[in-house]
Amino acid sequence: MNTADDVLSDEALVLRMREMDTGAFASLYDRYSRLAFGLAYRMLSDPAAAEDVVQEAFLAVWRQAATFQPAKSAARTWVLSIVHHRAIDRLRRSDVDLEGVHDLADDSMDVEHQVDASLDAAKVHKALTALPAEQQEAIQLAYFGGLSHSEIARTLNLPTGTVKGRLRIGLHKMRAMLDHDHLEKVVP
Amino acid sequence: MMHDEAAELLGAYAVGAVSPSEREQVEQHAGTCPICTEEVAELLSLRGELALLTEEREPPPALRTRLMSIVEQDRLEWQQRQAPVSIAQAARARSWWARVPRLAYGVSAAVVVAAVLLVVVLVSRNTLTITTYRGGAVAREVRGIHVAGATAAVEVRSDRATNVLLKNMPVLPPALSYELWLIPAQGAPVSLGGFEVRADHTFQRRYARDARGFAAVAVTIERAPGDWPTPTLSDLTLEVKLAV
Repeated sequence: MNTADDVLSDEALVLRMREMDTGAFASLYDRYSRLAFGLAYRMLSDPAAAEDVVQEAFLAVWRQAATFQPAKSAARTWVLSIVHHRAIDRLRRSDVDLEGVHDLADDSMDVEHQVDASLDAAKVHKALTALPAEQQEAIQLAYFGGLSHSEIARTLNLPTGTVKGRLRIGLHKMRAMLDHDHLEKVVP
Repeated sequence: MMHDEAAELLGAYAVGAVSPSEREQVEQHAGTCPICTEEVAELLSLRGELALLTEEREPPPALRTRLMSIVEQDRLEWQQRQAPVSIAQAARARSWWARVPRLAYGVSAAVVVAAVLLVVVLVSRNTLTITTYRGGAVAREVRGIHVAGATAAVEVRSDRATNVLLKNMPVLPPALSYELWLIPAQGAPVSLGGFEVRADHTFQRRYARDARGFAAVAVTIERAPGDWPTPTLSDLTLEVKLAV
C-alpha cells in the first residue's frame, strides 16, 4: 500500500528527514537500498561487507540530512555518492587483491546486462559507452574496482599521467553528454 | 600542490581514485582555487550517477529492520530532549556543563547509535540571552578513533558570540585534527577552524561568531592541520543541532 511519503520527491524526503521523519527515511531506503547494495556488493564482492557499507551510508544520510544541498545535487546522487565513498573507504582499509579487482573490472565491462531499465541509467550507460575504450576502462577500474590511479597504472602498465588524463577527460566527456541530454529535456 | 598538479588529479579525485594524501592536497588547493572548485563540483556529480550502472541487488531484510530500529531510537531521543529545561532550574545551576548528559548507546547498533540531542536552556541575565543546545557523537569510530563517548554543548549568545564545550574527546595523533563547523540548513558549511583537545579530553572556546540561524554545529576529524574549506562528511564525529 502506498503511503504519502511514497509520492514525495527524493529531495522532499531528505528535507523531512531533517525533522526526524522516520517514514521519509523508510521511503528513501526502499527506493535506493537495492541500488546501494548492488553497488557496494559489486565493489566489495562480499555480502557482509556490502551490508555494513549500506548500513553506514544510510545512517550517514539520516544523520547528515541537514547537510544535503538540493541546489548542488539530486538526492539520489547524494545518497549513492555516500555509498560509493564508504565502499572506497572499506576497500582502502583492506588488502586489495589486484587480480581479483581486475576480474571485477572485466566483469563490469559487461554493462549490457547491468543497466537499469530507467531512462537515467540508460543515459549514463550511453554516455559511458560513447567514450573511447581506454577511458571507459580507466573509469570502471577506478569507480567499480575501487583502484587508485596509481594502481590502475600498475595494472595496465601505463604511466600514471596517462591514467589521470583518461579519467579526467573521460569524466568531462560524460558530464558534457549528460548535461546536453538534460538541456534537450528541459529546454524546448 | 600547484594548480596544474591538482587539476591533473581532479578526475581521479571525483571517483575516489586518489591516495589519502593526494585527496588532502586536492581539497586544500581547491579551497583556494575557484577554477578547480567548479571543476570538482561538475565531476563529483558523476559519482552518484555512475552507480546507476549497477545491477540492483536485494539487501538482507534484517538490514532494513536494524536501520529502522536505530533511526526510531534517534527520533525518540531527539523528541525527549526537545523539552526545555525550566529557566529557574537553569538559573540555579552553577555550571550548566555539569548537566551535559552522557550518551546512552544501544546494544544492537553495529556502527552508530543515536546521538543527536537537543536541550534548549534559556537563561536571561539582564539583557544577555544564552541558549544552550546539547549533542554528542554521531559515530562510534572515525578514522580509527573511538569517539562514541563524546558529548557537547553549544551556547549561542545574544551578544553574537558562541561558546563551544566538548567532553570525552580523544586526543588525536599528530596526523589528524579536529575541525569545527557551523552547518546552515541550506548552503555550504562554515569552518570555525581546527582545534586540539586538552589532556583531560575537553575543549572549550568562545568564538566571535554568531551561530544564530545555523542548523547545527558539527565536529569532524580531518587530516592535520585542519582548517579545510569543506567538511569530509564521512568523518562527521559530533553534532549539536540548533533551533532555526
